[in-house]
Amino acid sequence: MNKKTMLERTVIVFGVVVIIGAIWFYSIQVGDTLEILRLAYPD
Amino acid sequence: MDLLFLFEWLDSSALASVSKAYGGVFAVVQMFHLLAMSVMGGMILVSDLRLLGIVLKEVPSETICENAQKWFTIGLIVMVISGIFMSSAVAMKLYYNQMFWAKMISLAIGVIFVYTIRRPLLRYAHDSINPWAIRMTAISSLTIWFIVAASGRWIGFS
Repeated sequence: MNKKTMLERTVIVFGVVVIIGAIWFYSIQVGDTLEILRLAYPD
Repeated sequence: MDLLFLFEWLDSSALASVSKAYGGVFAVVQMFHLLAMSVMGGMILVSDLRLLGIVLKEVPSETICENAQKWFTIGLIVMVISGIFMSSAVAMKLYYNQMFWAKMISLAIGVIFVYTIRRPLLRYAHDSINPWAIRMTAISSLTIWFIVAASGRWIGFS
């Protein structure tokens, strides 16, 4: 496998990991925000 | 690895004495931090959107990426230096802030990604690179740097 092919495969795998990580990260932030709103407006 | 000793040192350093005592100096340094962030953000957007074929389609992507990379590096250096100065003013508060660590981790990932994967890959002729690899490079870059910016902004609200 040459360097270019290795980099191409690395970036594709890395990209999938980053997208999954971003979804996880923002789900935590959205969850925190909703929890704060729930506490601030219990009704 | 516990970095508390580093933050305690920074909090009691001469740099912290200046940043805490002189609000005007802090404001000017913050201005440079934000300007550098604009430069970095602009270079990332232009090069990544070009890689995705959305902007500046008439200009070769190699030209845009090569020129953007130079200004990205300058912006990054200014941001890191000004960021250290700004951090010294609130070092202990930042140490215990989760969003600060999220920003630092994503910043580290972003920098490693740019200099070990993106830049070496984009040195090849872009026509010879797998189109999905090009798209993933752009999407990864946009995602990581958006997380850096968003978590940086979130520090102020957490």
